[in-house]
Amino acid sequence: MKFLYIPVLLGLLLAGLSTPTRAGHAPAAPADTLSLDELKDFGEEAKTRIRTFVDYLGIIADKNRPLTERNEAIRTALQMFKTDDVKVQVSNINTGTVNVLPLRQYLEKIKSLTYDKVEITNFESVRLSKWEQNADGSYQATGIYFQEFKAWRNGIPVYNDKTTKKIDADLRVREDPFYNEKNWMVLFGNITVNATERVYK
Amino acid sequence: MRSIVLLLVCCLCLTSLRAQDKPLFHVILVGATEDKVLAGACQLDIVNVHDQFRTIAESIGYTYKPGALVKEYFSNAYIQSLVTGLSCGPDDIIVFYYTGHGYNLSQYAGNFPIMMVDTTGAGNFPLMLIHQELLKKKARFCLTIGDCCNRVVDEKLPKDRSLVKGADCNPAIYRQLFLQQRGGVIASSSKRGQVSGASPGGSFYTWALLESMNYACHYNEQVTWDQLLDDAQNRMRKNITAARLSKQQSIYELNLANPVASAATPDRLQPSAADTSVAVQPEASLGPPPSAAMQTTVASSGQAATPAPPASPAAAPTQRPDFSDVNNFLNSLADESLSYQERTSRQTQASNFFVHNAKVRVYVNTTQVAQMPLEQLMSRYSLLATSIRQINVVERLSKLDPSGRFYTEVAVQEIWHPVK
Repeated sequence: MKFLYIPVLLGLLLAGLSTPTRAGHAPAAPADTLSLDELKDFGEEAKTRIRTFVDYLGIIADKNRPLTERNEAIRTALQMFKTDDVKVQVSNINTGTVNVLPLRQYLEKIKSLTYDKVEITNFESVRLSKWEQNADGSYQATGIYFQEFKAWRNGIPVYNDKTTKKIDADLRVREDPFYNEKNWMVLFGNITVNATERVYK
Repeated sequence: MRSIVLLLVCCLCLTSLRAQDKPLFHVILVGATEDKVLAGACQLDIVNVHDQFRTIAESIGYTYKPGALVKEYFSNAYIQSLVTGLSCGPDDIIVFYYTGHGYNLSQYAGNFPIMMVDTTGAGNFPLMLIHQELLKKKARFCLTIGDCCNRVVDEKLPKDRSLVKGADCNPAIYRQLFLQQRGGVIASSSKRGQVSGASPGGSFYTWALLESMNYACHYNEQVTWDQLLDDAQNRMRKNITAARLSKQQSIYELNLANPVASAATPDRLQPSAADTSVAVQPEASLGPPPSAAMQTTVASSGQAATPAPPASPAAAPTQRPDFSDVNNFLNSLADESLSYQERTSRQTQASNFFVHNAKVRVYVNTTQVAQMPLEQLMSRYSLLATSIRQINVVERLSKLDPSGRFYTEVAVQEIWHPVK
């Protein structure tokens, strides 16, 4: 009977010794593909980052915050994207138009809006589609975020819309710009308008 | 004597004192005069308030008409009956006075408390509702006073511990706490003069202490009692709004002697100082170890706790960073009660714990999902303070420099507030 326990104990010992797969003590070369659990974890991170992108938009637009903070939000938001000139669609419910701006220009425009007060917030949790693997081994997914835009002039609300936007998420092995290490990383691409509706109060 | 006066007040309320030529000064006195804790104070309150308003009524030429809801009349039904049944003339004055327990609820939008007449919470009236009802009587003047707590008691405590999967609880941590020294530790959820908060999800401090123990056992390589108890205080402050607003400050006293050598992680132990006795009290100047005393002192004065200063030459040169100080430092960068400037100015304190631009690895479960220089991480936290609920350093996945004093790599886990 004792002998039966030995494999069990060994198994338990090995299980107890197991450490997180990417525990980071040695910068091992990243795996070619990711497990389902890892993809799920990157999905969580992608959703968090998309949500923080809208948080950054809120900071950039907030005229009550110091300019240093708003500029830092632009700098930090840009780091989440593949390049500074990914395209962002911008809708206007008054004109019914959808314009396209390079990301940096979009962020600068938000900073310099001529309203007295602007609020940009998430009004619902971010969603993310399943990761699809490309031929080159990278993964793509589409995030959806829900952004409410409110603007005031002379203390009077003059514009309020809720926009659903899609954002491309790109997960691949990239060289870390600071440490020259290769790691799986999520960066974002183009943003498109899915739907915009006026908010009546 | 007080009881006799109360009885008299009760009797008075049942008699009609309306004089034909004088308007009435109605005073409704409601008090928890038989409460186990508040009985004495409430009895005195009722008697004193009764005397005061009687004097006022007489001095302004009004007929005093008191009504006391105490003892068996202390109930929501009697309050409702007395308030709704009150009739008054256009020159009458109404005073409603409540002394007893009170509370507030997160789903109740009012700033004024709810009177806890029924301790089960059933049918209790918000003080403002009583005031509005009395205003409808169209009296000349209406004064409503509540002397009771106004604490929000139903703040939901976070339930998700969100531990990094795969980081098993390390029993060595518990051995360090319970077996590597002799003596004792006493801890309390609030300091002298304060109240301790609780919600239906549990008491604030207990929640924070259990969180600290759980995270320490899963994430740490070493822990001491003062680190653990400091961490509990920081978690309570960071995660529970009501505790932060009321400045609830836990206290503890360590009486530890003769650290016992252990096979657990002997090289990780703190230098075996002689007897260690740290009484953490705000006013005390305690000398080394400074972090516990200093943090508590600062926090108790209503400011956010700050990380410990750089180790002095006298401090043990090979002492690794105190995990509660590191956790507290990172969380202070995302402390929404501080201004952006204050948060960013704190970034300079990173040199107490990290080498310049240490590497940060961000984990979700077992997966490293991001890597960035510390400067970038700190900037992110300072910007996103309102969205981040808690940052946890995973000591077991972090690396120290050869001196053992500074992190070259640090692993963190971030817990975010849900979208409001």
